[in-house]
Amino acid sequence: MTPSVLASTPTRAAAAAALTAAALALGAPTMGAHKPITSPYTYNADVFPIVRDRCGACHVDGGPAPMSLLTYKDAYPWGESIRTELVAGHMPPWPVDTAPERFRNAQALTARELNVLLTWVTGGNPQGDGERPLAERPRGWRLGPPDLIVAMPEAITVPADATERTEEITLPIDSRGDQWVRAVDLLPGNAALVRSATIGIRVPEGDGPGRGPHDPVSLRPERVLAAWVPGEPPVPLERGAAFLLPAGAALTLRVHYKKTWQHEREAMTDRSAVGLYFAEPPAAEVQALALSPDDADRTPAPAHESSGADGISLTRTIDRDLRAVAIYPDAGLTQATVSVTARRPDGSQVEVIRFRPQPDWVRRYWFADPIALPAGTRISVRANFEDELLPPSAAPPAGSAPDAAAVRLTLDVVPVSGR
Amino acid sequence: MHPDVIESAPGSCPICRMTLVPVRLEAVWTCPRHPQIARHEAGACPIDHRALIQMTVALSWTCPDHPEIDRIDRGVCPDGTPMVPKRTLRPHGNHNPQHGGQFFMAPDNFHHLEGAYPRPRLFRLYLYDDYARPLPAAQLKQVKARVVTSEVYDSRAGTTRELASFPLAARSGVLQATIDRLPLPARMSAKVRFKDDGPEYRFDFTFAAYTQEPAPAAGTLVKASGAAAAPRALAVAPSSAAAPGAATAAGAPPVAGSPAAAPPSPPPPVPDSVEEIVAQLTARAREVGDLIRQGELAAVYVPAFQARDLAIALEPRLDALDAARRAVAGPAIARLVRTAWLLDAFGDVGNRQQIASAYAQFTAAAADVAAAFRHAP
Repeated sequence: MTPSVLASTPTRAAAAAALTAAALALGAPTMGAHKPITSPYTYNADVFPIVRDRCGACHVDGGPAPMSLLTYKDAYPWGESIRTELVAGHMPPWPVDTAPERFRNAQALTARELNVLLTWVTGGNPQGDGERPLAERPRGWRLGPPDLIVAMPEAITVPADATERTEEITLPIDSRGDQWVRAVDLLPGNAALVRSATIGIRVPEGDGPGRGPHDPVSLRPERVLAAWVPGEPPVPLERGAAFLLPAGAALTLRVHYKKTWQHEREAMTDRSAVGLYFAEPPAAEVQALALSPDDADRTPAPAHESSGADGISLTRTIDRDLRAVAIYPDAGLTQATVSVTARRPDGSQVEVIRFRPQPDWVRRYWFADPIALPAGTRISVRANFEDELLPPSAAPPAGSAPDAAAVRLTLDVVPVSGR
Repeated sequence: MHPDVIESAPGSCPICRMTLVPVRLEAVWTCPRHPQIARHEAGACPIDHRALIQMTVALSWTCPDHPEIDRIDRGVCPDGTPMVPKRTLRPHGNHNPQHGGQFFMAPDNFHHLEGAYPRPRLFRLYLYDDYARPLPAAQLKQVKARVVTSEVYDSRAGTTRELASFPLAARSGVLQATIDRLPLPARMSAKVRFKDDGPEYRFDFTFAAYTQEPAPAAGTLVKASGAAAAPRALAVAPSSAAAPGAATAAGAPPVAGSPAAAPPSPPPPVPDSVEEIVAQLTARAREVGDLIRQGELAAVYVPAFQARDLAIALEPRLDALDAARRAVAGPAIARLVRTAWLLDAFGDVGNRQQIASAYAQFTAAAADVAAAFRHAP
């Protein structure tokens, strides 16, 4: 079809003036999530420093994420996906509403960073000048050489026709007596395949303290050493606290393998290794305080906390002085906004965490400052199963009925001595 | 092939790997019914005198005698005359109502639609493609749609029961239905399935008045108010994909865009004092609520983004707060920014239920920010 030229052609000067006017008009805010280049932020000047520092541990060539975001060429085709993930709050995978500075391993974006990324992805993805050099991807143990490295005895292969596989293996360790562990790391053999891992302790049969079925005050030894997710460096315990690795115990390693779409038709292998960092004895043992319907207070909760159609509440009162160092949800607790608060005997109240646990991202949330929980403190858990608010382009959440049994969290605590 | 992809450097399309054609985008004012007209200022259409609407086009340069020439930079034609500008429609370049109604984008990012309530008991739904061109008749036939004027939502069961629903039938290129008599402001929802196996989308309309389709102002020609005394009409070539005369297809005569589609004025500057920022933020959040109540869903993003900018201006001032206030204000600012973008996304697609949920979070975040900064040291 031939272009129709209907009107008189402007002179060059008039056209230049007109273009200047149009350029000024373009300075107006964007018209929603549409494509003209309206973003004042460019990849090289504004976006790259943010994705390098906040996303680069995973979104790097050969990393666990299915795409790198560390060059303009890599990042801009993903604009719409980035928008969807950011607006839904799914990425970065830090679904915590409690202030990030309250945690040692927070991965939150600041409001400005979030806005720069969203403005860029919706505003035409301009590249900008001056491409920045990529730093070398850090490899190896992130806390330095471990005191003990326990590798998987042999490689595990996920065949070409499978995309996911979970393997649980026992790793014997050669220990003569009790050992204290201050940090645990996993070195994936194949970073693009290891999706998550749980490292635990298996004690010999008949060992370890017993626990009554409805003993609301007892603590258990913490048997979960690490909930490893990609991109999160290990957090070492502080202030003389450590996990107890009893004599004769073995490590359990449960690895969730999941191929990204680039590797779907390939056989992939992995041989990961666990690294342990020991603490000097004597150490204060990290113990597990279960927050679940089985461990809840037997007394009825106050009316305003009782379970409703779309929410579940429980409380647990502790009978000794503790300090809490971390909290983690059970893998089955998802699709709920969970808020945990502690009311101390002196009436003071502290928000332990308020978050929305994501499937595939079970991790420990390490408190920046341990939370003091004096004897008599009542810990309340409230889980609301309301629908998640997703942007129009995101898939609707899979429906799931509220399930009281799914409300399970573990608070990692250290008994406070001298009482 | 993939005109969504905009590069600022040469290369190949990241989707189909074809060599990228550089484009230069330009916001122009054009006639709702005569897209060949492009102006640099608001005004009246020189052909039918209807108010111009704003849209985004691709600008390139060509020669009248050599239409195969299409360059991003101006130059000289083989015969020595200067090249002339050529403007091409772009997807999502035009989100303006063409019949005075309310305009939304479907969540599939392709279809667009406009609801109109021109007189009592008549609802019309105009469907467009991603170039805001009327949907071809063959595609229109596949669309299953109805308009719902009364329904109850059972929050316990999570289901909606429709009390008054009317099938929309294609008639001269537009879907329409005779509905029950509704008082103004009239609220109704179009529920549309574009393909048999596709999802059903919901679009919520509020008509404060009957959709106006005023006759054009007779014979008046608005002068451009800029430096040039006479209005300039520039050549526009609809892209090869554009159906010739598509924009003049059947339908009622056009009118100016609704307030929702009016181009936003530049954002006001962010004030210096925390008190003033908080006051403005609270006011903007209230405006968002007002627009939602009025059904102006597509306009919600304007005050939402102004509130977002005000909140971001408070972020560097978090350090001045004590720990307890900071712990509230920091996450609230992040929440406000995220939900402002969510409001923008939901506003485009016109789903009242989603936008109301997003607004609940947005306004709670705004209240938290205001409370934390109010009377702050």
